[in-house]
Amino acid sequence: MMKGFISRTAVAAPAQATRRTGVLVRLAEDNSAWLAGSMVVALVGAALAAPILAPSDPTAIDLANALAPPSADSVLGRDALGRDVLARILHGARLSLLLGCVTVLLAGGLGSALGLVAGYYRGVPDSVISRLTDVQLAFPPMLLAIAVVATLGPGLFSLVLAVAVSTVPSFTRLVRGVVLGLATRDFVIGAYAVGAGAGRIMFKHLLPNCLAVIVVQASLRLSTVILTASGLSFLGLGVQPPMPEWGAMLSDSRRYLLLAPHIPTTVGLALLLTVLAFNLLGDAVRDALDPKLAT
Amino acid sequence: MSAFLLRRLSTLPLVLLGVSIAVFAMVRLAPGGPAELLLPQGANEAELVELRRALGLDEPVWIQYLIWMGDLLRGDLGRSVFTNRQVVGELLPRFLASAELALLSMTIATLIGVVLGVIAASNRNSWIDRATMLLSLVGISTPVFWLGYLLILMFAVNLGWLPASGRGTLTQLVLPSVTLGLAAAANIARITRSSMLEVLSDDYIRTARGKGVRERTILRRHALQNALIPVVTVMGLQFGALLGGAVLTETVFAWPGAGKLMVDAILARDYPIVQGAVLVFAVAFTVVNILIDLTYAYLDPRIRYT
Amino acid sequence: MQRTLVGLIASVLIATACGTGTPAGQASPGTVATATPTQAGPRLLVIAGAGAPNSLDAHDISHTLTFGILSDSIYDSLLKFNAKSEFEPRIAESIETSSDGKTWTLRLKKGVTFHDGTPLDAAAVKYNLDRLAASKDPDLGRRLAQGTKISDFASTEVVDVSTVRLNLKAPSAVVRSALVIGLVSPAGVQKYGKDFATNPVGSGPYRFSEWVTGDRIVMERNPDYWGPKAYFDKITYRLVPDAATRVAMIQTGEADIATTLGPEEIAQLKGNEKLELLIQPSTRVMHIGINVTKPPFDNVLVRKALNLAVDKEAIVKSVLAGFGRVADSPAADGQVGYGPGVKPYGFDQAQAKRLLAEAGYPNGFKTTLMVPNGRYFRDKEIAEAVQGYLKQVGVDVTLQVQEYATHIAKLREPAGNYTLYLMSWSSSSGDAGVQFTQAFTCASIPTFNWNRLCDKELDTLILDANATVDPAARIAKNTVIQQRLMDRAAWLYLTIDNQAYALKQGLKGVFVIPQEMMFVREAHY
Repeated sequence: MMKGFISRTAVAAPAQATRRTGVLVRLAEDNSAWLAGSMVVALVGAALAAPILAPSDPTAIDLANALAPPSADSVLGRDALGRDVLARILHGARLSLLLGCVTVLLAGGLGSALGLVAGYYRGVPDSVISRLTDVQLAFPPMLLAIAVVATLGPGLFSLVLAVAVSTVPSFTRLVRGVVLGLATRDFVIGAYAVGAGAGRIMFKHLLPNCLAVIVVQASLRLSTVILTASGLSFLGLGVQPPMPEWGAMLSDSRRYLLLAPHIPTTVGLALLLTVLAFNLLGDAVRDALDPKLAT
Repeated sequence: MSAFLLRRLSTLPLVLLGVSIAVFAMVRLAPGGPAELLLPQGANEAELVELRRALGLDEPVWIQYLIWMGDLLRGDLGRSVFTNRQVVGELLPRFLASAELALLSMTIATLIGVVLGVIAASNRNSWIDRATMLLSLVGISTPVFWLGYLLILMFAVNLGWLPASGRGTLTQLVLPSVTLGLAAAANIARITRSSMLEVLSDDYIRTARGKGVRERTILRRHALQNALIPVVTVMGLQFGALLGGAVLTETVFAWPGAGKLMVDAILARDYPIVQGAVLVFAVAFTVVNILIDLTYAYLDPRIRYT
Repeated sequence: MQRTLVGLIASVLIATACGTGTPAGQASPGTVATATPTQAGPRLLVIAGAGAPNSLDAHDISHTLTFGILSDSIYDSLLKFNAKSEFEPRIAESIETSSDGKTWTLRLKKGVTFHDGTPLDAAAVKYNLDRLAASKDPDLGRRLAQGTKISDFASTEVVDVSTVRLNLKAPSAVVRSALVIGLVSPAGVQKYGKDFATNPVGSGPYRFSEWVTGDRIVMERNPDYWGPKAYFDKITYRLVPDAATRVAMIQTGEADIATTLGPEEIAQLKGNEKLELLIQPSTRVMHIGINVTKPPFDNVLVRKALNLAVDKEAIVKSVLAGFGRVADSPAADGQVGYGPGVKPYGFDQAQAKRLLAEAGYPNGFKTTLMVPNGRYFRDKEIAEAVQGYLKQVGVDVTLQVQEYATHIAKLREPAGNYTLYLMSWSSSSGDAGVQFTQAFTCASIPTFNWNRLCDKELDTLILDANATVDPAARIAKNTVIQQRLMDRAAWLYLTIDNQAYALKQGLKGVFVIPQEMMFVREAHY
């Protein structure tokens, strides 16, 4: 149980004050949180309302107008098959957000849980989890994703699974590292001394301290997921056509960069704004969760 | 310390065994096999069956595994299904090329990333902080093949300062490593910054400040060392990723690395190459992991004796 | 907007580039030949190529592009292709055929030696043909890739030191395609065995120098060549998988030739006076194969309806950006034995709907189309376009995008559980008759006949045409076969791509044939 966890005596100190009540207050006071929050809301809103907002069907081909630049008829221009870029970006927002969120939730949840258990219990559980993580990390990153896609066939489900599987170890390792570093912290020892059980210690004391790192990692990973999908498209293993996935659109448009710069520019901007929004939000949440960082 | 090292090294065989089983199974789970792709034009079904037999694919999977392991333990990684060349001869130069690129990229990434991260953290919420973080966000959200392509357009085609692709001269090393380095630097900068911020507000830092210790000493001696723990984790993961996963950069810059080799091999179902390459990568990556753990222990003495 | 983004990134990058540098002590792992054809200094040719060969053994090479570029430079062959895709003598100075067409007597050029000094005489030629004909190569444990081209041979005899006699099983019009395969040195094969693939010994104007795996293949001039001496001291074939990078290389001058370019790349290079663009039709027929054993596709009316429903001209114009033409037959103009005059299906969706209704599907039906993602030029886009067209006549197609390996595996499964599949097909022999044999005869199910058409009458016609030696008669027979294949509609005929290359201005002696082979042995500035 706690056997290996405390390796030497330490001065007992009062347990860390609970932060729950303060979090929302701090969040509300942070300007960048409002900015990020509104960007995320706008994004999610645009994604959800895509069928209404989009000027046309994102999969409707119009070969006569292929690669048309922005005009009154199509605000952001058209792609290689004449499909409206704005419509594809909006519908692509749904896809990318779905992809990103599900993957990060899956991977983050599983990975963090594993990392907590490994770092807390040490000993055998740590060995097993660490070895499994090692085995998985010992696989070249893209290869695992490609193998999953090759086996299950390209598609949204296999993409999510492929990227999630590749993302779990980073959460595990990160959380484990932080937990190991917290081993001798006063409040943990204090909690143990007071008689708290393993679960309580893990979730009430350790996890909140990991949250900052987890949140930052998650917000980073969100964009990585979209970029991984883009990379897989570049290699020819992305989502099935005619899905308007941003990564695939970016990868395809590279070949006509000089002929139709409006495509990579607009899609790239959309991606940039999404990444920015989630990262800002992640930062704000992290700042709010850790009172020591509040200024 | 040496006991720690020995214990970590003792995990290596277990990990390799796990990897070998996993890759063997994984590559055979994907539909289709090398026989279908190798079949010469005009061949008939009987020849396809015969080809499968010649490649040893008609045996049950576990027997194929044992045969492969047996050869492996004798130092024979087999021959590529497609080129019929020794796997070792195919792998070594490619991994060397990847290592070269990875080392240089990580150097660039660490230099830029850590410096930017520290600057941002110590000037929190100033314009420097915001500018560097914006920059790193742009770095994170640009797909690496786009960045590489833009660099080629700029420095090779428009300015003519550097060659566009290939490997062999120092100048050819610049663009691909800058591409990877910048992409990795963005990530490192962010992690460094957030980690530094964490540490900088710790009690013992406040104490040091209260005692009147100079800010720079605080940064270097107290804060940085502890802040580097998560950074080192990320660096280790990224180096591993670069060693075997830089396939996008390798494709754009025609860099003959291991990432592209593995992707091509799995798409071509060249089983011996995939298996051999993943094993080599696993060894390299596990060694890097062990080095990271050693660095943890160095950076945080509290971990050392556990 | 694009410019500001590029500018922003550029200024950041320039700032960074100035701040960083390569650390001291990085070893330079060998030099690479750069392409600067100056008067002084060595004469170098650099080719930026899309794919790498699987082997440099002339009998086992299966990669079309390097068959021309590398194999044809390192090896001599009995016959060669000229720029019009016709066969011309090379080592076989003359060929006499017996009246029954089953015996060919070849008179060989005298005094030719391999790069290792051994003579290229009748014995060597016999060795080569026997090696090709072997059903299993002793070193590889399987048949050599080029071996199937020789299936019509019965035996080879040495008549005298410079005369060889080939005995065929039956008269054949396709046997010449086997005679363009390179001739390997018997001594070389004995010496290197399994490693001959990486240590090729031929007799051509260029010798093999080095092969850095995944990076480049270098050939150097053979000073003892019997024919016109090679112009270049070294030819380097660099493997550059990304088309945009190949374009960059030809623009910077790093490469003299860039292969396998598409219309976007051509559009970017147009007007560049330092380059010459080589654009030609290929022989690759892009089509959607229809599994004729699976309903509703067992009904020929349905298959014809599919052909009528798609506007192929529009696809060529927009999806291919005019970079190709409509396919009017399962063979392509440019393949030996192609029969012209077959009418393509038009674009008539009304008629398509009528045919579907007649077949019993007035409301259309649902089906799946397998697409090998990223394998062929714009395959994804073409599939999406076809999907759109078929939807308009009520056929609801779900695209099933998969990796090429999976694609081929599913096609080759004996059970054949698929309906539609996208494919781009060209027989490596460059012969229309071989194309028909491989793609439509009963014997080729399921290795290469994936539409699974099995028409015994058709098989007989095809075999007969392949045995017809007289060219005019053969073409007439092939026309009949082609028309019949059009009528059977086992394929949804789509397009024939162009092939495009960029060459440095002033580079001469390079030519390309529709079979997508490029020949550089006579290249010079």
